[in-house]
Amino acid sequence: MNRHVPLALLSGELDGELTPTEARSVAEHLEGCPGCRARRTGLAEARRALRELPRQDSAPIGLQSRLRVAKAADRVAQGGRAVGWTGWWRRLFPPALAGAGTWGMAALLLVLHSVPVRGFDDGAAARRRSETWQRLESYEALLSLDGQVIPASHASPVATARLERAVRGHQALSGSARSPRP
Amino acid sequence: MDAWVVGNGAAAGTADAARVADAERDLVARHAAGDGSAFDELYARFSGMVYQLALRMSGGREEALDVAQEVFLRIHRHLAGFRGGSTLKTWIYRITVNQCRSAGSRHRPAAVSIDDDDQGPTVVDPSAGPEDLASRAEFFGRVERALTTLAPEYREALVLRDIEELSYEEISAVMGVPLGTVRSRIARGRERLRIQLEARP
Repeated sequence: MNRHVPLALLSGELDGELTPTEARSVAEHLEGCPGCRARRTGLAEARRALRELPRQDSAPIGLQSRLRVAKAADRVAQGGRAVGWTGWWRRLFPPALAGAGTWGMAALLLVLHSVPVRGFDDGAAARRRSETWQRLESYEALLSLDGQVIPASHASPVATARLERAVRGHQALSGSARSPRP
Repeated sequence: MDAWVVGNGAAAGTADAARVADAERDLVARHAAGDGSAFDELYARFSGMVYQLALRMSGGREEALDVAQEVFLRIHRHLAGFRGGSTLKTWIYRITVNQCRSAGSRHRPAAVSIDDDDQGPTVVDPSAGPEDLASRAEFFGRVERALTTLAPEYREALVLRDIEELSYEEISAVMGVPLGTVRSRIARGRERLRIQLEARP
């Protein structure tokens, strides 16, 4: 190697990343070239400076709590389990009753949300019922009351039948509510 | 879980690599099955690495925390889909570098010393006197400032090689560039760093 050693080879030699042929050639050249030796020394010093920087072996404690909050927010944003606001519900009931409690709450919400309120005209009540229907047409939205998003295709037949009965009951109530008020 | 705690990929033997791959598959499967302890193990193993890389690349503690948080969110979302095309370590490094690039387009890196704040203990020479420590702290500050002046592609290559001690092959996988480009970026980065250090005594 008569010309000076390329920078990439000088640097690679420091890391032991040259092929045996390259390494031999570079070593032979360095013996007779003070300029390349000086350049190699400068690269070695830069390399050593970085390697001597203090190391950080653990992340700040704050990262873990930030991550916990971000994960919960991420789940909500993605329509997944909303741990924060359903946790109280899960703690309130034993697991076996949590499902029944959820369905009961769903039916209650359904009725409260759609029964005509005295003082509102029929148009407003109909709009409210329509909005309720739109919500209920998505099983995912209703089932998410239990803290889990379950695609309609995965909902159990029993749960689906129960939902449909609740909806039919609501329809009957709504129909009677259409009668003229006193 | 020691089975997947290993050294550098290049240094790991074939048996070690197989053991690590098995442990990683097991971890991914447990995470996919909803076992929260799998992610906790992964966090315990890699959080220091991710934070240090983010800190060196972004140059600021708050930016590094933001990056590390986003990295682990992405890991949490996508770990179940990890297919073992690389080691988990390489995969996580890649996510971190990409996140640093995204953050870098929003923030200009600022020099920061990891001794500046509540980073926890760092390794110091117990035999060094106060003057030595002050001198070394000043030197580290110069190196850190010089590092932040480098173009991002050189800074990435140098941090991955000289701070994280990845092999050229691993850096190639993390940065998504050919080996020749890795070699060239490391060399040019070192040359520019040397010039910066010599210019600012």
